[in-house]
Amino acid sequence: MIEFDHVTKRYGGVNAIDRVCLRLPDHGIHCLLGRNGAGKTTWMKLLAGHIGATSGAITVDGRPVSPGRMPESVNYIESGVTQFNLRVSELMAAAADLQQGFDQGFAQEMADRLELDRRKRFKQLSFGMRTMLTTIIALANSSRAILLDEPTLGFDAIMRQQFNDLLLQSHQAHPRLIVVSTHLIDEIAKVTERLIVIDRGRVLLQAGIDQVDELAYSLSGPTAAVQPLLAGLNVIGRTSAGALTTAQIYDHRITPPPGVVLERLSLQDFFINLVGGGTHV
Amino acid sequence: MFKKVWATTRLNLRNLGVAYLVTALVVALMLGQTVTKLVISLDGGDMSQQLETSGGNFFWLLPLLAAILVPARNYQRTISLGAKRTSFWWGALLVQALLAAAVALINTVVYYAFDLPLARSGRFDGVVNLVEVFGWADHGPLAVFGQQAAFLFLAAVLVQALTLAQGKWYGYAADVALVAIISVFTPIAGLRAALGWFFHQILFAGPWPQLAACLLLAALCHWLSRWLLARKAV
Repeated sequence: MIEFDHVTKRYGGVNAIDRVCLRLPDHGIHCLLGRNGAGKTTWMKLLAGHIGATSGAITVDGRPVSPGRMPESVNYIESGVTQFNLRVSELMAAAADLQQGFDQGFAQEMADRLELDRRKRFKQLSFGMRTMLTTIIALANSSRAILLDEPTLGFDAIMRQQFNDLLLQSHQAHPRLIVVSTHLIDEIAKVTERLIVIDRGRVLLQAGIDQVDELAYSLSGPTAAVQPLLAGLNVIGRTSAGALTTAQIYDHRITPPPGVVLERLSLQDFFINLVGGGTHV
Repeated sequence: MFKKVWATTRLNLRNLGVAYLVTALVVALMLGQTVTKLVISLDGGDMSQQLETSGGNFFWLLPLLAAILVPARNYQRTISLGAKRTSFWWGALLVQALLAAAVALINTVVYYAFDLPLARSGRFDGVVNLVEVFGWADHGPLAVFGQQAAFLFLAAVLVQALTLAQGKWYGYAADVALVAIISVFTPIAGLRAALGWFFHQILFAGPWPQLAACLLLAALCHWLSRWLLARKAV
């Protein structure tokens, strides 16, 4: 069990993470969403013990986490990270030596399937392939929690699909907690079970994808018909054009009257309205 | 645990290309200079008034450069492959110990196999090797190796700790303090004596006191580097 208890990380005068309280279960693929600079990387680095919190406590299975006490069971991988300029096979072998229970069979199988030339040196790989290699090394790790920071950066559409498959296979082979931070919201929604939304260092939402699917919707219609329906509902966004209004809602579903259309919100629209929400005219 | 530490050590030793290259170039240049002078001397030129610097001294560059590269360049890459700080900390210590021992061994061989015979040949006024300057050669080959290795180990661990501290206020404070100690202690007689005593202990004291002083200080620096490493962001 991972727990954040009123954790703050301050850089200069800015709270990159602001009094975050959060509990994460032992299993499942979670998606960490947030705008650039929202605090996603800081949150992951804090959990991995790569940086220390300014205040508050982070625990993994009850043990405190700090840079002096990096949790063995948490592995954080940053996209675009530079590796030693060794051959792909040598990097995998080095990772196997450095990590307990590294699944070299899985790593090699994935490298072959993704047509990663194991004889090539790290600097000879394309940016996308470098990221894929780093991701494979991370997922072959036997840690109980894997944190992947922007793992699909530089991937084309096919690679993103392959990444999703990789993620699912890894989770099937080693059921554990995987947290993926990404901006490609709707694509990750195909494999993720839960969402964590961070904005300005604070956790805005932690919910299951099913729950978001159920509760996030829009109501569109004449302003005079839509406006009264919104009373008491959690309206996360609103767009008006002439006499028509569309409201984005995150709340229980209602049965709209004739003339008002209820539509499911895509995850991307939900996210945009949640963190950048407000009224648009 | 040892497997991970040893893996970190091997990985770091393999990825010190810049240190190996710079050391090899400098040693080759010095060797080239000695060979040139020797050829001139064999051709009838008079080099007997010249002091020659042993190329073996320049192998010392290797552990010092490694002490900068391991924390500054290899640290993040090692952690990115899944190593933990503790493995890196012990692995880095082993890198410094192995390089200090290897370089001390090479320079000991250079001293006895090349420098001494060259000095005794009378072609040069003398061949300067630091093992002689610091008096280590007075106590035999084992002392030359052991005292040299201990001093290099201390120097490498100290440089590594200083490199780890860079980028933080206490790192800059340590840099300023080091410069201040040298510049303030030197002109004041009492403080100069203290500084002299310190250098005497780590360089000129007999084999056992020097070994003990170097290893004790290295251990202190290494424990300090654990504190520094815990505060170094990845």
